[in-house]
Order: sequence, then C-alpha cells, then structure tokens
Amino acid sequence: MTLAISPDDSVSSILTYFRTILPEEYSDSERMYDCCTIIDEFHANMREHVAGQDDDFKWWLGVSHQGGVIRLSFQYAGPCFDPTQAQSIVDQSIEFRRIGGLGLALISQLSDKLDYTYNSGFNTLLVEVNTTGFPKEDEACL
Amino acid sequence: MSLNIVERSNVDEAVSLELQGSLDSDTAPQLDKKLSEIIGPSTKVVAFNMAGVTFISSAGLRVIFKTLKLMKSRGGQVSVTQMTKGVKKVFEIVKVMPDLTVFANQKEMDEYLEAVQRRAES
Repeated sequence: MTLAISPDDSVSSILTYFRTILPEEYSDSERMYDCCTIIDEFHANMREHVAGQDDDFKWWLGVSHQGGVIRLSFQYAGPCFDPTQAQSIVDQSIEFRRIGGLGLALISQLSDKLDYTYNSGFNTLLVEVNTTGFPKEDEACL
Repeated sequence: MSLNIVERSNVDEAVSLELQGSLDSDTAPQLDKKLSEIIGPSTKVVAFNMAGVTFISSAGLRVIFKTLKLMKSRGGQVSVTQMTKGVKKVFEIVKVMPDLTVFANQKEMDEYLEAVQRRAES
C-alpha cells in the first residue's frame, strides 16, 4: 500500500497509517519502533531539505511485509541524493560535531537493508527491517 | 502523539524536566522553546526524566544535543534517567551516551540536583 504525504502532514498521522496496515503480529515488535523512527527521519528530511516552498510537494511511502520483514519504500521527485553515501558524523566528539545530520545515521543503523536508486527524476529509497532477529545481510556468517 | 513537558524544578544552576509522549519532528520544537525559556545564564545542569517518552527521533535528539553542547561549553552537563529501551538504543546509535550523566532513577537524580544546588549556594 502506498500513501502520498505532504510536508504539512503530521508525523503521528503517518505513523498511525503505518501501524494500521501491518498485521497485529508486528505490533509488539521492537523493530516497529525502528520503522517509526526511520519514517519520521525521512519525513523531516523532506520537510527541511526538499519540499521548500512548494505547496504541492508530495512524497510517497509504500509499506509491505513478508516473512517478518517490513519493507518501506520512500519516493520523491527531486535532485539526486543518495543517503547511503552520506558521511556519518557520529564518530566525531560532541564538541566538534555539528548539531544536525543525526537522521541519516539513524536510518542507516536502524535498517537491515538500504537500497537507493535514481530514475527519471525520482529518488527511491528501499528500506528493510527484519523483525525476526536474523542477522543483518552484511554481517559475517559463522 | 503529543509531548507533555512537566517542569519538576528550576533553580539557579539546575533545571529538571519530565517528558511524556513522543519527541519527534512535530513535537521537538516545543521542547526547544521550553528549554530556551527556562535555561538561564547560570544554568549548568539540565536533567530529563525520560520514563514517559514513547518515541524519539533525530529532531528530539537534536534538541537534547544542542542543550548538551551548551552545558558542556559552560562546564556543565545534561543528565537523564529512566530511558526506555527504544529511546536508549537511539541515543546509543548517535554515540551521545558517554557525554550524558545517566541516573538509575529519579531519586538519585534529585539527590544529585540538590547537591548541585547546595554547592551553588555555598
């Protein structure tokens, strides 16, 4: 299912939509919390960095699930921006760290898989969050 | 989801707040505004009881991070207590935990704040 979201939409309304379309078996998962954080981060980035003064700006949130894996797709029209390439600032000491830039670190750390594509003027970020407790895709096998 | 901010105490050097609800990109400006109103030139400790925080995103972190930078620049600190597991995980990811003073419960934090105040008064 996909929802068109405008910058004026509240985070709580988006998260309510997200929670209602997932089956109950996901509702107690700690990873639901991670999904909510990721969605808020993306929405905040759209508001602050992409939407600008465009009253008609929209981005699209797609939600699906299979076998305990929640898949979120974020799509918007705009200049190419690959969040998977953003440099992490969290290793810098507090004194020298800038106040912003924490959102991308959270999206990256809270997701199990991130795929970014840019096609025909559309940025698409696919995020997978595994609620079953299996290791991350890039973690070494035993 | 809304954010409720309860001012537990506000004395010369220490400010103590209890947060309840969601600290997200909608509600973080509310906390930012509250802090800018109550942090005075002599404030050196800002304490947060996070027991009621159900959700935090980077917008909320940013406000606490901004407060932390301000307090550190004054030789002060930001204290927290009773973080839920999900909230703590977010703080750990952005590697802010080592710079915070963490108390196990509100009683310990209150005792510490009283000691700060006594020291300021003496």
